Parts: sequence; C-alpha cells; structure tokens
Amino acid sequence: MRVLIVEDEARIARRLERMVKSIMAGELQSLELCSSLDEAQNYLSIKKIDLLFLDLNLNGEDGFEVLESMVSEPFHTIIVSAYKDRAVRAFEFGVLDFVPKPFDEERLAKAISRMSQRDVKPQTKYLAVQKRGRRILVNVEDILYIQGAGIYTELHLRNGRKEVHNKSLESLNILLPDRFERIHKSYIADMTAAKSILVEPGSKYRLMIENELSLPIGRTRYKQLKEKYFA
Amino acid sequence: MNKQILLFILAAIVAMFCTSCGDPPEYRMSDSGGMKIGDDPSWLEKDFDHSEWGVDRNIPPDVVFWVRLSEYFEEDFRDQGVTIGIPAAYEAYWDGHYLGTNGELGIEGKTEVPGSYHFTLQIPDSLCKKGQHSMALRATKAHRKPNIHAFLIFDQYRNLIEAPLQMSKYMFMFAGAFALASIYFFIMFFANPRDFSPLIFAFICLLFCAQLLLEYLKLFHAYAYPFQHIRLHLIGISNLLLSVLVPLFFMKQLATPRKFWLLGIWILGLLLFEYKFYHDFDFLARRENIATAFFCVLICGFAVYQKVKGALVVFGAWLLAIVLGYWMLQARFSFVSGFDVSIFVGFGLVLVAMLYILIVRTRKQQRDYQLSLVHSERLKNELLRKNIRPHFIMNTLTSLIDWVEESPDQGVKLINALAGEFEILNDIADEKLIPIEQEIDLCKNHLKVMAFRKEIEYLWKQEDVIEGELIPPAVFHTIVENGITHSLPSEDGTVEFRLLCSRSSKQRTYRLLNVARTRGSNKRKKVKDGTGLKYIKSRLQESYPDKWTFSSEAIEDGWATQITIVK
Repeated sequence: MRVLIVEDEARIARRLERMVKSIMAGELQSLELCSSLDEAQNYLSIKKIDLLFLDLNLNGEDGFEVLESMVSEPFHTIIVSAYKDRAVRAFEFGVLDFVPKPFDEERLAKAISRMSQRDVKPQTKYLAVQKRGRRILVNVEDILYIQGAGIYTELHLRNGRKEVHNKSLESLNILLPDRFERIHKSYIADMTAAKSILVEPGSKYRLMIENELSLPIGRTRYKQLKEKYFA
Repeated sequence: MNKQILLFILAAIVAMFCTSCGDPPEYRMSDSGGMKIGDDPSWLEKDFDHSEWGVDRNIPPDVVFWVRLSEYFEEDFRDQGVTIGIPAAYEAYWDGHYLGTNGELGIEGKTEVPGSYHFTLQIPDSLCKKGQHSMALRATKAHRKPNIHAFLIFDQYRNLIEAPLQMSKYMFMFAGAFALASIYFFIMFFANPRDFSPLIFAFICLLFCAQLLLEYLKLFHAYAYPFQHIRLHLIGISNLLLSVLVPLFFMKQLATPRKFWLLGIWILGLLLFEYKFYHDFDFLARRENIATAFFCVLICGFAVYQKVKGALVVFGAWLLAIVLGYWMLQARFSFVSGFDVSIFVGFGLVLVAMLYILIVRTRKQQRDYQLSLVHSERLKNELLRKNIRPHFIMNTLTSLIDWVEESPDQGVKLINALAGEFEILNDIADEKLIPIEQEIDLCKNHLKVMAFRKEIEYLWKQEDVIEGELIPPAVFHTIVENGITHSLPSEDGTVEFRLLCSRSSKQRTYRLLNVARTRGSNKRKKVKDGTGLKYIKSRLQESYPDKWTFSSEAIEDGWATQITIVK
C-alpha cells in the first residue's frame, strides 16, 4: 500500500504517519508527508499512490476544489478535517471516509478498513471525471452501468453517453450506493434499471436492463442476484 | 403617505386664501386726491376743488397739512364704513362733516400723539347717497418715516372691522404651526448639538413665523404709524436671513458640492442688492424672494440630477410653489398684496418639503445608528469566535492529544499557552480599544500555541512600543494568524514577527513584519481581502472613522503589514 498524507500541521501529520504505520504494518509500501497542495500535486505527478489523507483547510485555502480533483484520481481519499459540517458534502463527492479532528488510532483504522469492505451505505452523489483537461461531475443517478476497462472504468450513462473514470471497478464498487451491484467481474449495474434475467444456453446469464440493453452476469453471482432481486 | 399629507396641506392653503378673496373699493391719494401744506378751514368742504394739489413727500414735522380724496358712489349705501390708511395724526371730515380723530395733532405747542396706521370709521347713512363724495384729513406728521401716502377702503363697517381678523386667524394658525416646529427642532438640536441641520431649520421656521406675524400685524393690531417703518425693516431683515438660510439648508441636506463657495457668492450678491435697493422694501423683498426661489430650484435640480435621496420631492415642491405663487399673484386681496400671499403660500409649501427631507434624513441616521450597534456586536462576536472556530480548536486539540500521549510535560505547556490566549481574548472581548501590551501578550500566547502545533520556532520582536497606547483588539493577532498560515520557515527554521512602532505629532504607525519565506505569494494576494482583513478594517473604522490607512504587501524577506492612525 502506498500512502500520501497532506497536512499542514506538523504535529498532526506526524501523528497520522505514526498511526498509519502502526495500522498497516507490513502492508505499507511507502508513506510520504506533504505540507501543501503544491507539494502534494508535484509528488502525485511522479509517484502513484493507493490512499490519500487530505486536510480540507490547508494554509488558509479551502480544500474543496482540490477534493474534486483528488476524487477523480484512481486512489482512495480519506478526509481528515476539523470541519465536521463538511462531511456530508465530502461523502457526496465519493471520499472513502471523513475522519473528524481530533481523532485516535481506532477511528483511523476504521477508515482504512473501508478500503476492503463497506460497513455503511456510501452516500456518493457525484463522480468526478477528467475530460480533456477539464473536470466534470457525473451525477450518480445518471449512471446506468459501469464497465471495467483495465485500470480504468467506463461509465455508461442513461442518455447513452460514456465517460471514462480513473478509478478501478473495485474502487468504485466501494464508493457507489447500494443500488449498484457488481454483477460480473467487469460490470457494475444500477439494479433499479434491471428488468429480468435471461438464461442462455451453456449456463450463460444476462441481465436485461433499460434501453433494450443486456449485461453479462458472472456465473458465481447469478444465484445471489436472483434471490435478492427476482425472487 | 407623505404625498397625501402634502396634497392635503396644499389644498388647505389654497382653500384658506380663496375664502378671503374679497374686493372692496379702494382709493389712493395718488389716484384721486392730493395734499397741501397749510391750514385753511375751506379745505374741508365737500366741493372744494383739489385738482391742483399734488403729493409732497417732504413734510416738516411741525406743520399742519391737508389730504383730500374724492370718491364716487355708484349707489346709496347703508351702514357704510371707511378704513383710512395714512401715516399721520389727523381729523377726518366726510363731505365736510367731522367723523373722528386718529391720534392727537401736534399743533398749538402740543406734542403729536401718532395715529394708528389703520383707522376705521363709520359713515352716517345720510352721507352715503349715490354721487360724488370727499374725504378731507387735517393732519400733522411729526415722524418723517414712513413716507406720506394715503388710501381709503370702503365697505360695510362691520366687514371692515371683521374681515381683517377673519383673514388673520388663518395666519395665526399657520404661524403657530411654524412656531411649534421651530421649538421642536430647537430642542432636537440641543439633544444632538453636533448636527446643525435641525438648528438651521428651527431658525427658518422661527423667522417664517415672525415674518408672518409682522406681515399681517396690520390686520389685527392698531399700531401707531411710526411703527410701520420699523415693521418694514424687521420684515426686510427676516427676509434677508431667510434668503441665506433656505439655500444653505438645501445645500447642506442635498450635499451640494462646493456649497461654501456658492453660499459666499450668494451672500455677496444679496448684500450688493440690499445696498442698492434698500430704500424700496417691496421691490427688494420681491426680487430677493424670486432670486432665492430660483437659486433653490437650481440646487434641488442639481440634486435630482445627482440622484440624491429626497431631492425629487423638494424639487417638485419648489416648482409647485412657484406655479402656485405665480397664480396667486394674479388674485387680488384686500389689506395685503397678492405677492405677500403668494410668498407665504409658496414658502409654506417649501417648508413642508424641507420638513420631509429632514425627516427622511433623521430616519436614515437612526437606521445607521442601529446598524453601527449591530456592527459592533458582530465584531465582538467575531473576536470571540476567533478561537472557537473548528480549524483552530480542533487542530489544537488534536496536537494536544498527541503531545499528552507522547510527552505529557509539553502537553501541559501547550494547555497553559492555550489557557493564556483564551483568558486574554475573554478580557478584551467587550472592549473597542485595548492597551498595546495586552495585544502583544495575546500574539505571544498565540505563537506559543502555534509553535506546539506546527513545530516551528516563532520569534517575536518589538521596537518602540509605548505601554498604554490604545489599539483595537485582536488586530495584530489577526495579522499574526495570517502570517502563520502563509509562511514557510526561513533557512534557520524560524518564522519571525517584528512589530515596529513610530509616531509623530500627526499620526502613529505600526508596521508588523513577517520575516519568513512566503508560501505562494500570488495565492496570498488573492486572500488579501478575506474575513481577517475585513475584521481589521472594520475595527479601525469603528474606532478611527476615516482616519486610518492599512496596507499589506510582499517584501524581500517576507510580508509587511502597516497600519497608520491619523490623530
């Protein structure tokens, strides 16, 4: 696991560093501290990371604009901030967790654990997508299904358009609300759009969804889906 | 609402003058009579021919002279009376018959007792038949002023006695209203002597009231004729003062640019005019009034052009007053000239408009005052919130937990520094100005807390600080906060704050240098007018209205903030 901590308070940065090391122990491949956004962006342009700890108020600047650019990146973001009232909005933008200050190791461990399992309903409302150098926000409501494409994903929207997201299918699966279901190793579908399951010869299953479209269902997931949605 | 009141007053003024528009016949010496110095019993005869007589303005004080006027009655009258207006003491003879004496003639070594300016007598019905009549007056005039003139007004005797009183009753009401307004605004001025507008308005109302009473005095008070001259002087003085005060009031209220120059030129013009025409009261008063009206229309018109609040209402009132005045000029009134009436009606209207803008302004002042109270409360609130803002308190607490976990001794030090900062903030929260040493203590405590959080060594230096000098609270503190946020430590790992104080006879200056590497100086410029700087500027404005300057700029080795307070 490669981690970056962006925090302008030296004492707090060191506290985070100490705790992350203790929580991740052997899993940790690299850990870097940055005290400003410029520094962090320089670091990100040369190094890849898996997890970012971000303070929302860095050197008197409002970090929300930065948050938008961070959540469009492949890595997960955990906000560590004094502004508890910003939590709801941060979650809407698809952060993994929001850790209010002051914090302890237990709380931080819980946040990190969310990378592998979701314990609460994610509240993501928007996915930030980088498009020709600009950033646009895609409303989660508009997404019909998502297709994995290597380290990227393709967001297929209800209006037929397609956007490319930098996060992997696994990462998005953790962030998206409950109505999105992993139906195949390469597909996540909005189950509110699902109509029926089509059984094809050779134990092949397809999910019929809106717009006369159908998506493949993984053999191992068929039974669970059928019970949950078509019982 | 205001417009309705204005219309109502306008209607009342018009109505009151229309009720008194009578037209009894009037005879003037200059038209139908003449005078002659000397004393001849035959001059009282009805049929004496005085066509050769003229008007001699230079009557020696110790001579008897006669004034004769002839009249023609179109019909037989009953209960007829005559009001005689002549500045003298005299015996009156109607068609050769003695009617009465006004005052006591200064003849045969006796001192003259001046007659009253207006004198009303009844004429027997037998002497009021259709045809030619004559009035002969045997008179003395011990007082040179006013100049000799004579007129007769015929009407029913009862009317002659009552009509002037009827007319003056409206004037009393009018004058009473302005007397009250005057008292009200005098009191208002004494309640708040810094504002001169109510005082000017109080004087205008008082003068207007005095002028009304003086102008219509002849209708209700039988004063001796020498007073007529004094009365005209008083009216002239009052008129001149009004011609200065009214434009001054408008210029002040409507914020006319360069008003003192304009007023100076205006007063100079008025004085020249007075000097040239002082002998002719009516001519002077009329020209002055007309000129003042147009000057004020120009002032108000310019204010309308500049979109000054309330200007449109007064401009409209002036135009209406001029139209109304001009219209009333055409109407005829007994005892008073149409011009007098038009001036009072027109000016009465303008005074109401003046009252209106004064009230508009008073309301605005009250609102401003309320706002300033709210503003002060907000600043106090902002000061108190400084240290409970989540960014400060939560970050401090997080660091504190860390220190306590790692090194409890240091944790205690941080708690003490934090307590110190809170204590000072609590002490100064209610103050608008605090001693500079208290502010410095606050900054030092804040730096201690921040040193624990940021693990940077913050240095405080000061030069030429005079203890006890007063400054607004948390101003340096805010600058220090900004400095901490935007500085990176210098090569030696320190961030230094240096307060340089200097003072001269005219001002004192505080220069707070933040010696450090500045983090992205462009970004800092962007936040230049953030809430912190707004707080500083609001505090300075609160305690030193428009007598301070504030600058904040990048310098070679950091950032410099300068506050200058002008004495």
